[in-house]
Amino acid sequence: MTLDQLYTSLDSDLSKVLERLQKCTLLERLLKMFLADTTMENLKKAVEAQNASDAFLYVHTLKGVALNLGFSPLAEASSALTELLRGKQAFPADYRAAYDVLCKEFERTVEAVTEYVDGE
Amino acid sequence: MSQQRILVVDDNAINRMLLKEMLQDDFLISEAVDGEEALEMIDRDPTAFDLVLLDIMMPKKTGTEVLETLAKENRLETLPVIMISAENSTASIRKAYEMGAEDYIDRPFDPATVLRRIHNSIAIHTKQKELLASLRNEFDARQRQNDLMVSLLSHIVEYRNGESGAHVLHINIITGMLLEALANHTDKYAIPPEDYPIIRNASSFHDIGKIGIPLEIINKPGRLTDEEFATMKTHSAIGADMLERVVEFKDEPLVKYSLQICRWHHERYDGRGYPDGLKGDDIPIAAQIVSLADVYDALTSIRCYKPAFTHKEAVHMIFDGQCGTFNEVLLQAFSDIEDKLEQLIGEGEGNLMPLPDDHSDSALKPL
Repeated sequence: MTLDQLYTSLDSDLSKVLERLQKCTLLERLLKMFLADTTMENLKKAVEAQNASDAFLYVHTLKGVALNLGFSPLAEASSALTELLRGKQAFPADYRAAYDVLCKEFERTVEAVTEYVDGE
Repeated sequence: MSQQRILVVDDNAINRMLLKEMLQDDFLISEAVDGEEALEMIDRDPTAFDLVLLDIMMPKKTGTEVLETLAKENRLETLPVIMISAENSTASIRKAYEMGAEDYIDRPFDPATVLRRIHNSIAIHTKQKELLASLRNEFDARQRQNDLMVSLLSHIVEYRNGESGAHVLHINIITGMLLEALANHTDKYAIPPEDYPIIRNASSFHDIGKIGIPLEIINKPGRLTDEEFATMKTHSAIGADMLERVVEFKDEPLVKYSLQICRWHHERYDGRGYPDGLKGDDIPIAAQIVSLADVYDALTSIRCYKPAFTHKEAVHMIFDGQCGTFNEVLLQAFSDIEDKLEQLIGEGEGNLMPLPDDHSDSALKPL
């Protein structure tokens, strides 16, 4: 798989990312770091523990990471949950749907990135 | 100019790595993984960093809290902070600016823009820092020159008086301690703190009048005759006369305080001192302070007419009224600084000389 194919499969725009990062090697290193990143794990733990403020913190971080890497659907999914949790002491009733979308999008992203990194 | 150092504060490793990659060709980079660590690093060496890139959402301490702390500690004037966040609500951006952030950058950012903004921020602050530093250097150089002249002069006088330079230094230090301690007890005297260093310098001149006293009297071991004692006592008025001749600087605080101290550092609160027999607060407070400092240091030093007493003995003699009467509130201030005094003179110097057989009252008083 090429970088181009990876980004296309994730409905994202590689050219925009490279415009910012300028070097493919940097992007490749960041992708490897993305696979080791624990933000999503932390988010899951916070959701299990029903800790809304921690969950907000982690989903916000995930949004930043997704934006940096140019994964548009992942950024949108995290952004949606971020806004639902903003300023909340407890999880609002409608968070579950947004959370499930995010989990699915994250899984899909990790799978694609893993495939790309392994195939390198 | 040495390479500038940027502190990157972000809890996420990918974000830190991205910033580091962007910046490391132009800057030295340090990293902190949360707000708490960032504050610790800045605390440890406030001058280590030229700029902080600060994420907002972080565990332990958020970027907003870090910014708040830095603002409270007045660090933002010399340390520009640029906030970086995926946060794009207008409210949070406005808040960051209001709290003193230099700039605000949202993710995903364009490296070229970030670099340009960082360079601009640093350039402005470097200019400001350089200006401040050059002002401070000039001030310090003048202050040093001033202190040097005072120190040279007073050492010349001490040399003639056969006393060690340590006496001048001790009185200078004790005067400073008493000034600060006194302010904790009363605002009656309202001495402006910016005058403290001037009074400390002026204290160095307290005995300049002694250069007008014959050496045979100054160096005489043992008791002075009544006549010799009367001559010795003129040193305070002589010192004041000498300073009064400095007409061109008569309005300078240093000259004014020195005059008070020279003339009246042997007055006593009950009016039984010399040369004018002033009573109570007719004696200027600067002279009262130096008088007490002089007595304490004279007691704890060896003189040709007396041994060195220990700290405890000296304190006892002062409170016992053996060295004349002092202002009650000044004695309270003196009590406060007792431990520091004991450290200053260092124990073990006491009783190096046996007490002379005849040590009457007058022999205990510094002249």
